[in-house]
Amino acid sequence: MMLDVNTEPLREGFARYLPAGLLVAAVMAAQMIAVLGARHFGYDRFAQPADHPAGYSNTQEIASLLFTRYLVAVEIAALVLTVAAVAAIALTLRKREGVRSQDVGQQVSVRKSDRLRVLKMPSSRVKEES
Amino acid sequence: MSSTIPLSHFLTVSALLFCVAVAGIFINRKNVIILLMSIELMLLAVNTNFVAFSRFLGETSGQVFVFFILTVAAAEAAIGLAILVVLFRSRRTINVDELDSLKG
Repeated sequence: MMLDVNTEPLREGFARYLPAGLLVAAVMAAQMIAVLGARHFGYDRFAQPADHPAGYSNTQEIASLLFTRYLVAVEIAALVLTVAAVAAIALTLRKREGVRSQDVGQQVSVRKSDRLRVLKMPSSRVKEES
Repeated sequence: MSSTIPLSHFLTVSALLFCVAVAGIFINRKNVIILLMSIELMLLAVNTNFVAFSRFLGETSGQVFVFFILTVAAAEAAIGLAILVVLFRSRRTINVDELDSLKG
């Protein structure tokens, strides 16, 4: 695991902040629901949309929009994703010292002369007689 | 296949999702990962609004816009997690309370 975290200290304070968090969330939810309720966004303000004709494909419609009107935006989004991926890899990449990894390119390009050395040496019997 | 759900219900669900994210940020003061997750949840709440309005206003552009929001959210999550990993390598912690090097 990349983050070897002791989770116990991360959980402390849960009970302490629980009331405040729940209070804020409840007040916010009440306000939002009061604004977004049926009074302002009900059927009388926003009528029921018409049904789509038979054979309607939402996927097809979105795709036709993506590749015509929003083509430049799609390309920019692709660029953003690529930059983000490259940045994430570059940030988390690290050079580890003392690791014996194999270099396939070096293995493939090795030649006989790099590994094998033929020595010319006199035979031992000659040495004994002398 | 006629939907009988008014727009206000979609907006209410989205508001509740947003409030869950706010509560997550308030309750969790320690873990950076959960903070990132809560922010993602906020973005999803906004996406729900976009899709609902797109349907009720009869304009498909809103649904296309959701894709762009998702793209930015994915990029943000990737960068955020990468920063988190680097931070953990240098500081050995992701506890928000201990990341106070810039504290005056």
